[in-house]
Amino acid sequence: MNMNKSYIFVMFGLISMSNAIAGDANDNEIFIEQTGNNVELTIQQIGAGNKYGGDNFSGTSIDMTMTVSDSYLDILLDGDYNKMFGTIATTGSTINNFITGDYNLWNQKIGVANTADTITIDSAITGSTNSVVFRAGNADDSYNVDTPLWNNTAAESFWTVSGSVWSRTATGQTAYWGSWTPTAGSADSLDMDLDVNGSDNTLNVFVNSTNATFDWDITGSDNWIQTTMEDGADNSQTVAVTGDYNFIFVGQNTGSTVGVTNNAILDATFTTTHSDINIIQSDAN
Amino acid sequence: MGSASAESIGGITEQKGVASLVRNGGEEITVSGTSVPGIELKDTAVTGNGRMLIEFLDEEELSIIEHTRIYIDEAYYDPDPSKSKMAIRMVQGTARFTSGRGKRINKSNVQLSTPTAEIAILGTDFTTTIDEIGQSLIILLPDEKTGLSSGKIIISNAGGTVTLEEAYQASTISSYDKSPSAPVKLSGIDPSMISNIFIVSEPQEIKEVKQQEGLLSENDNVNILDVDFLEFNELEKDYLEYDELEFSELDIDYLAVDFLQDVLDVLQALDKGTSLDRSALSSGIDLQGTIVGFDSDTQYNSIVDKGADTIKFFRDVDGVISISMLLSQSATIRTVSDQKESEIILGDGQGIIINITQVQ
Repeated sequence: MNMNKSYIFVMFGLISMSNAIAGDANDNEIFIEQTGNNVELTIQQIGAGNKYGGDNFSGTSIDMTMTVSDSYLDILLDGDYNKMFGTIATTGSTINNFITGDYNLWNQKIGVANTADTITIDSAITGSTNSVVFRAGNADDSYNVDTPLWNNTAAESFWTVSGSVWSRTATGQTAYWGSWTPTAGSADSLDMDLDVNGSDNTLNVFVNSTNATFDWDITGSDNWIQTTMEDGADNSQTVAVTGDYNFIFVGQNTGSTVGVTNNAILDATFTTTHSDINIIQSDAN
Repeated sequence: MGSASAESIGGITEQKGVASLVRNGGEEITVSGTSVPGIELKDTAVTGNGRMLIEFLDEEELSIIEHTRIYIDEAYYDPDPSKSKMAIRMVQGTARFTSGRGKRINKSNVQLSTPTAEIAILGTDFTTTIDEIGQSLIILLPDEKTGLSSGKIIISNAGGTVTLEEAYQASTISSYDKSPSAPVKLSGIDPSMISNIFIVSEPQEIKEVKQQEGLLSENDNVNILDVDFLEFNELEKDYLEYDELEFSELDIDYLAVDFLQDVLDVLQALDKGTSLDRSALSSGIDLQGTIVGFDSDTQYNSIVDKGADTIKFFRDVDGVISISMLLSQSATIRTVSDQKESEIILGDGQGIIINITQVQ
């Protein structure tokens, strides 16, 4: 499909309790390959066990791929056990992702090859036990749901930073990643919002863009949240966490320009107890 | 690097970062690798996020670190050294003065001053640190070759005179009409650190002496002699209001940021026991490890909003950290930066553990 201006509205409604309980059946699958500019797309799936992605979705996923610019995308999942996998290569677009339900899996990458220029992303999850890996401007495919940067055992230990490599090793800990090396990309001007209202959610959000703003609100308990911002100047995160027993890791690395000090900005409000919060800010150059 | 011009009284031999000279007529000349002006009479040496080393014609050296301002009032070299004269005013920031090895000027004719004291030198190497309200800290440094005292400095003002004779002896001067504090010998430093000395907040030894002598400022302790008992009117006091709590975001002094934090405090390994004593219990808040308002030690601004029942910790060093939470919460905020480590505890500190690592 190749078009200069598209208007697409797709809505699927399906309720299947048995599949919902099974949690991984193939109810509705939407696989989109889209190329063009000025696309206006709204997709809503209602029910359980629905998917956005490729045709091998019951096992490993195949991303739906969209190469669009200056577009407006609404992607909605209403129900439990839904999955959303996708790659959207785009610039100048507004993308809204809304998930309502439990046990959903969201693995999306916006901005392959660091092309996520001038993008506004507004996402919200209402539900529990959802797993999210979201990459904006970050082309590293090695991050996925099963490989978080770190687990939260003995989290009171400090991270150490050597050059641009962040690492955290301590007796008794099991690292999925012993270290993480921020990599400068080339994307610019990213505005992201993410609201999570629920518990037991796992979120991994990787942002790689200069002039990136990321506001995220978490309301709920026992959430495991990891965010990294790398590259560029004056990356800013505004964080609000309300709920107990949350594990939070925030990594901000700036300084792709040698000799220039770029500020990472973190403005956080915590209303919580028994939470473990880790913040690293570094300027690689 | 730069050499003195025909009219100059010295030159800038080292420079890094943002530094400039302001001529007597107001012209500001930026010092850079490609533009190194000579030092002239009535120059003001100013550093932003930078440093410079000035060498005068008689080999006196003036090393200036970040955010410092120095007036060079006079430098006259006569064939007769007894008639030569030099006068330098240290206005703000931190500078190290090393008297010259030349013979053009008698050391007794070198006049150095801070806003609160005058310093007479006898062949010496020392640092001065002056805060934003003119309080001065002066430390006599050792001879780099022998490790012994580099000489003697006499600090005097309207309140009295103090002489520093031993290496690493220090004195603080809070105002021109109050005597300099008794000399205190600092421990835990050595000459290798002197070339990179950044003394911004008071060494612990100085604080202890000031406490003993009742010389702490009103933010710390009030000298008993300063209390006007006739003005005492307990009934007019509103115990629901705390002056410390009036510190707001508008009061944040971004220029107070200490990018190169106090080496002396670092050397003393942040005596955490002492640090924790700097609590805000007097303001009704169970806060340890920092104070309400700006804390030059931790570099945190702690802002209390009693109406919203919140406290915000704001820090702008190597990245901006702003953490807000309810006053009723308990939290431990550990911060590790390139320079030092701090630990702030709100309540019993057990509710939230926040680890912050900042590196350049």
